Amino acid sequence: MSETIGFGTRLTRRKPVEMLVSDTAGADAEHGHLKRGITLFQLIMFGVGSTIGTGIFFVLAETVPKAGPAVIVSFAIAGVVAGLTALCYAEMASMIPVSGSSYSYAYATLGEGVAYFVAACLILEYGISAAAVAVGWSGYLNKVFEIVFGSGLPASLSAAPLVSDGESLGFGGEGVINLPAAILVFLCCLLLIRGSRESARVNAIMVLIKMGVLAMFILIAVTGFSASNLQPFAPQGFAGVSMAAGTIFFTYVGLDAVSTAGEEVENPRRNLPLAIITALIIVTSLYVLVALTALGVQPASEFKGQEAGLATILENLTGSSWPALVLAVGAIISVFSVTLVVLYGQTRILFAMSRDGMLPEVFHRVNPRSQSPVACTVVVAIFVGAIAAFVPDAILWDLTSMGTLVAFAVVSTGVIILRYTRPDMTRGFKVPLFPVLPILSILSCIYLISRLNPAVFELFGIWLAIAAVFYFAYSARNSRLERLGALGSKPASGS
Amino acid sequence: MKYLIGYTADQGGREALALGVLLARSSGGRIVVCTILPETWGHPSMARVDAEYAQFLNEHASKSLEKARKSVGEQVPAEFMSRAAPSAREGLFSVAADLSVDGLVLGSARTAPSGRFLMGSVTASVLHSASLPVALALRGYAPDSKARLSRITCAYTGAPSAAATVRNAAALCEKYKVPLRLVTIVVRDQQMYPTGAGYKAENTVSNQWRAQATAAQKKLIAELPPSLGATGAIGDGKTWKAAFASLPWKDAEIIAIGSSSLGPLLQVFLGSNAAKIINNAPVPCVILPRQG
Repeated sequence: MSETIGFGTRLTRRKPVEMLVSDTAGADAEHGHLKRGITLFQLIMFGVGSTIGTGIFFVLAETVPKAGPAVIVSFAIAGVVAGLTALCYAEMASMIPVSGSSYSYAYATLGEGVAYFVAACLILEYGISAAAVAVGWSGYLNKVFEIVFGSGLPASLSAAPLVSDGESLGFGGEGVINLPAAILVFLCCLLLIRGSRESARVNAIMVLIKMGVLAMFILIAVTGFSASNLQPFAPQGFAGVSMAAGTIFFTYVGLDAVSTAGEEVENPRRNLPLAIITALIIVTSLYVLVALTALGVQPASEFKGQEAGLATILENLTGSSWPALVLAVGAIISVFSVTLVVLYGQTRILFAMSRDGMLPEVFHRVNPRSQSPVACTVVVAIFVGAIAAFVPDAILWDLTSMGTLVAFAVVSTGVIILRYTRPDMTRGFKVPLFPVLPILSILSCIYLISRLNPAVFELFGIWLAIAAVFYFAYSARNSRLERLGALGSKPASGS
Repeated sequence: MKYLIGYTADQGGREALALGVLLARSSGGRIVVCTILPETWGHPSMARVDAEYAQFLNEHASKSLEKARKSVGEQVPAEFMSRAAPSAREGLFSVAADLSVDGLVLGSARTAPSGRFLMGSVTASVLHSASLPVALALRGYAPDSKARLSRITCAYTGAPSAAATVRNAAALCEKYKVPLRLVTIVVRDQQMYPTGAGYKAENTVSNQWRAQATAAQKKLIAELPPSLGATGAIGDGKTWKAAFASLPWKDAEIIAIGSSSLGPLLQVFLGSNAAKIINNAPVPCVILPRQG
């Protein structure tokens, strides 16, 4: 390979927009001609559907002990941060005339180095959150076993061997392996290998199931509401509230999917922010209501370590098992679909990276029979399955939040930089209150990051180090742009 | 080449006959038109009802075969026969073995839309156990009475086992003296959403598959004898039907597909993709038995 290209050039080279367009072109020859087919209502539903279900079923057990009843404030804070970042992301997405991931947007606007870094964070957002969701699913499955058969799986088969004491990660858990979580990951990957896709219709049904069981929870729990449980409101002060907000940010992962729809939406300038904000309001209200009614039923001290929390609360409140059973089954069905969607996203992000030469070719080899990237899916299944089986959920949530927050802080920074370096590029949507909103977004991301579990910083650092070594050893040399550069045709600056 | 046509006195039978005649004419071969009758009880029964029934069947068979004889005329050398058997499949297989034919020709179920094929119960049972190539006539199939086979398209998946199918199809092309075309189908599945991978993530996979298939076709074509004049094409669309519609088709073309590599050796066994091809292809399909 040509040694004339320095790492500086490599890190800043941008993927030409035409390449991005041809990568995602459809079957009809009308490349670049886009149909704006998604309405505002559909977009709001995408937002709500992709956001709810990732965490509200599990996250209270982890966050109420930190924040006390003030956890509802944490939900609101995390929601605002999610909204700010999603708006910034929407501007970057609207600069590129095709729908992609934040990795591909960063590649076309900010350069290879930033794109690779964002991708490393995205792997946490997708791969790790898939594992986290699978662990939560395992809790609800166990709950159903308890209700139906009278006893759940033994702890050795349903809990991770690693435990976190908030500072560091170590062995000593009562479990050996979280078998149901690993099995769920493999089942989902089997479906993906067979080429099954969750269609818009199935997704809509899943959204209804999720919202239905959460509404049921609120309606039943409100009957046992006792205001005395909300005292003291914030036992650990704002420190606890913001710590919980960092973890809770995980439950808003998925809202960013709305931003990628920029080019498909009718009137994006009006509809994108409207959809993001409306979806956010719906989701946050639902979260806050669930948290509030749950807190009204039992004192904050009882949340700690409560697996399948919402179902357990209903069981304790009503004294009968069927409402808990309905809720647990609803959670199992809808969380299954969330795991499928998240794993799907992960495989397609790795696929795109591999096509760009950032990862070995095996990640973008398509199996002739199923016409899906089987090898990539299997690798993802093995890694995510292993993480779900052996790592405790508290770490996974914080790690997901970490990856997502860092990625979005980068995107928000990118939005500011691009306003100055590429003022000429057309933007379908512009962030309102320009320098203020992105700066707020960056600052709030950094603040929430600083409040995360310290053990997560260590893991994140290790992960970034591995990613950086891989980049300089492999990706920089094998990038598809390297070949273009070697041919002497410098990649055109996309506009 | 000798073709056995599973003939019935209905539209499906006529279409199978038309396809069989086309194939025989194109290869300078002959056809055997056979009607399978239900086996009757071999012993004399009270009031000879059985014999009466057998007589009725024989009359029916000779009437319908007479129709077939008229429609074939002098186009190709043909023989006409009926055979009694416990099932249509067994009857066809035993005739095929007795006369050592080179291929079977069957018609579509009557509910198929015009220009498409739908598997009936006989075809289904034959397609899961035949050891001969099986040709399937589309609903409403009526080639020109002088037409000759123009080209054989081979459905090529790019999988290692598919190379054997292509070699079989190439051998057929040499017999018919027609060019070979390799076709790979890209079906753009529904995009799953919502996900942060973007709303077009599935197209990236399909485009990669397209590039991969094109490369595999080129490589295979380079290995085939140049006298075949083999070409490659990609059918690309949202559904199987749309993908087939995106390709140009000649009159009197057929599409050859391989058997599933999961099936037994030297037999036809329909895989899931093959089933989609025979249900959506705009030209008659020939399903080849699995070779090695």
